[in-house]
Formats: sequence, structure tokens, C-alpha cells
Amino acid sequence: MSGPAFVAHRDDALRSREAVAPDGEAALAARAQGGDVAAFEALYQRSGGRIFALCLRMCGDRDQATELAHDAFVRAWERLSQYRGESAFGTWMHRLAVNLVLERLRGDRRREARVTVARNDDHHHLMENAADPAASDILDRVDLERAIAALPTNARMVFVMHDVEGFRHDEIAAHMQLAPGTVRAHLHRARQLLMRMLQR
Amino acid sequence: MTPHLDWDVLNDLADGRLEGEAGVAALAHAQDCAECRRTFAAVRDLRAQAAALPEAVDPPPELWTAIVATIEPEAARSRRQVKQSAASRWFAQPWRLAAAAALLVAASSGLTVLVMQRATDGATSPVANSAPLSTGAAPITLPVAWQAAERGYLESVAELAAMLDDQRAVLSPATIASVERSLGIVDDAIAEARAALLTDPANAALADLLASNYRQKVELLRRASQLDPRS
Repeated sequence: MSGPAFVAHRDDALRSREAVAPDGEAALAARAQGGDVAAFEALYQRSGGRIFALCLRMCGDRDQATELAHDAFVRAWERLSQYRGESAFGTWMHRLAVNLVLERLRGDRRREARVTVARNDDHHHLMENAADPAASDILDRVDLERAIAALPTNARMVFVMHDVEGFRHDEIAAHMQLAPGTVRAHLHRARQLLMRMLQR
Repeated sequence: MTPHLDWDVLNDLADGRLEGEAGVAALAHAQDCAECRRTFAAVRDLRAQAAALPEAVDPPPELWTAIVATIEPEAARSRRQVKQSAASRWFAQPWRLAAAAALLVAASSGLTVLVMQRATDGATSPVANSAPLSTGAAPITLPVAWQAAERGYLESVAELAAMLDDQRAVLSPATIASVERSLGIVDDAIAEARAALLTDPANAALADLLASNYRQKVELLRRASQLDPRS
């Protein structure tokens, strides 16, 4: 479910995204709309990391995130004719990916698996560099990413959409087809669980 | 001392969702009460950390490979449609039309003359058996999007060239020489456009030009393969 208001509010969100297409993006999009895979690859190079990050945090599983990102870009390819260039391609793509991820994950209350986002070798590498002042920040981020991945599905999705992606309560409620009070409860529970996991 | 703020109130406060007197009172308590102040700071810190997470995470390298494997068949269909409309646009531009006409006239005039001659004088000529006609196939190093399109052209060119080679035994040396000269002109044009596109893969005009040159070659081969054996 998505509403027109979503677009306008999204640009004002905590992590506002570029609303204007960067130089050359319109030409790339036009070529991609004409079936030019190389142009679409260039667009993918610009937005793939952001879309993958969204998928990864929302589902908490690397393999599933890869599948979701794949499906999001395939859907984008199929719907390129609907992209009018009124916003940056990345903004349009992000919106499409959010909708797809929520479609797939909505109602998935049975998922209890606890997975980690960062691989063990990533964490080991970071530990080795802990003497670096920047490394402690990185360790905090890795811990937070892992903790987010370990949250229950709905709590994780609400937390990611609100605190990471910057959506408002009402937007999340509309997209997840939940009551605003339920969104609030998921968010507060997610934070409580995260603080426990991070021992704060 | 008022009771501690409950968890929901602290979160709402951190999210800026408490307005009016309730917000002012909660904030005042959070500032005065050490325990609530600590919890409030922890919630705000968590929010800040979440907002500061990297916006992008490198996707696995195989992701794009999987995407392109899925969309490529659809892309090929789209490209065919675009080429048809691009061809219309291309020929709608007078300067391009003039250039194309000049090239096509130069390349095909020999064939036209031969066809017309054959129709009027019914002359026969000795048969020659020279080397096979070049297909003009160059190494495929173009962008992915163009590689499939070029393969399509090259397949058509190869089929028609094979038909023309079958004709070779019954065509005159003059006819074969004329055909090869014509094909040489188009091959040069293809090579030029192709080289230009390799250096500027994003240039849609060059892509159109290369596609147009390939189409001209296919048309020339088609016409040559239909020449009367006595030419």
C-alpha cells in the first residue's frame, strides 16, 4: 500500500534523499527505458548499494536480501516506463524497493531465525584494527547491524524504516498496513531489545 | 519527586512526539532525574547511531549478473522496438537522410546497374570463383546492450553472405568485384561507427549510426544474393 503523500514526506525524512536527478541520470534512464542494459547497469551502480542495504536491514539475511534486491531491480526494469524523471532515479528505485520488500515480508511473523549481517571474518578483521580510533565506531556499527538483524521481523522492519530510513509513523503504518499504535509499540520494543543486546 | 517516565513516554520524547504541557513536563523530568536522563540519552544515542549507519552496503558481485540474466531476454525485445522507432527518427532528420542516401547510393549503385543491365540486355558473363565475401564481423567488445544486437546483425549477415557465396560460382568476376566494392564501403562505415561507439558507448547517435550501417549491409547482401546468375 502506498499513498501519494509518501513521496513528498519522504524527501523531508530524517535521511532525505536527493529529489533531483543527478547529471546524466535522465539520459541513462531514457536509454534504459529503450532496452539499453548498459545504461540500466550504470543506474544500478549508482543505487545498488543503497537498495541492498535497505533489503539487508529489512530482512536481516544476506541471501534473502540478495534475492529481494534482485527482484527489486527486475521489477524496476519492467516498470521503467513509469519513471518520469520527476525525482532522482535512486528515490524512485528506493520507493519501489520498499514496497517490494514490505510485500514480501509483511505478515511474516513466523520467522524466528536469528542471523547476522556482518560475517564473522568481517568482525574479526575489525577487532584486529580496534586500536584505530575509527575502529571503535565501526565496531559499534557492526554490533548495531547484528543486533538489528536479530530483532523479530516486525520490530526490525519498523525500526529500520523509522530510525534508519527516516519514515514517519503514519507512513510506516500505511505501508505495513498496521495501526499507528502498533507501529509505535514495535518501535519501542525494538529499541528496548536493541539496548539489551547492546547492553546499554 | 515524580515517578520515573515510562518507556513509551521516553521514546515519544526522543522522537519529538510529545507536545504541549506533557512534552514540557516530561523533558523537565528527564533533565532532573538522573535515571530518566540516562535512559533518555541512551534512546537518543541509539536513534543517532541508527541514522548514521552507512547508507549503502556493497551488494554481492553476483547480484548484477543475476539481474542481467533475468532482464536480458526482455531487453532484446525492447531494443528491437527501439531500433524500429530510432530508425524512423534517424530517417526523419534531413542531414542524416542525405548522408545515408549518399552512402547507400555509392554502395549499391553497382548492384543496381547490374540488375538493370541484366533486365535489359540479358548478357551472360564468364564465371569466377574468388575468395568468400567478408562478413565484416569484428571482435565483440561493445557494451553488453550492444553485443546481443550486433550478434543479431552478424547472424543475418552470415546467412546472406553464405547465400551470396553459393551464387559466386555463377556470377561474373565483374559482378563479384562490384558487390565486394559495395560491401567494402559499408564495412568501412561499420568499422568507423563501431570504433566511435567503443570510445563513446553512451552516445545514442553513434549507436543509431552503427545500427543503420548494419541494416544497409544486410540490405546490400540481400539484394546481391538475389542477382541473376547470368550477371
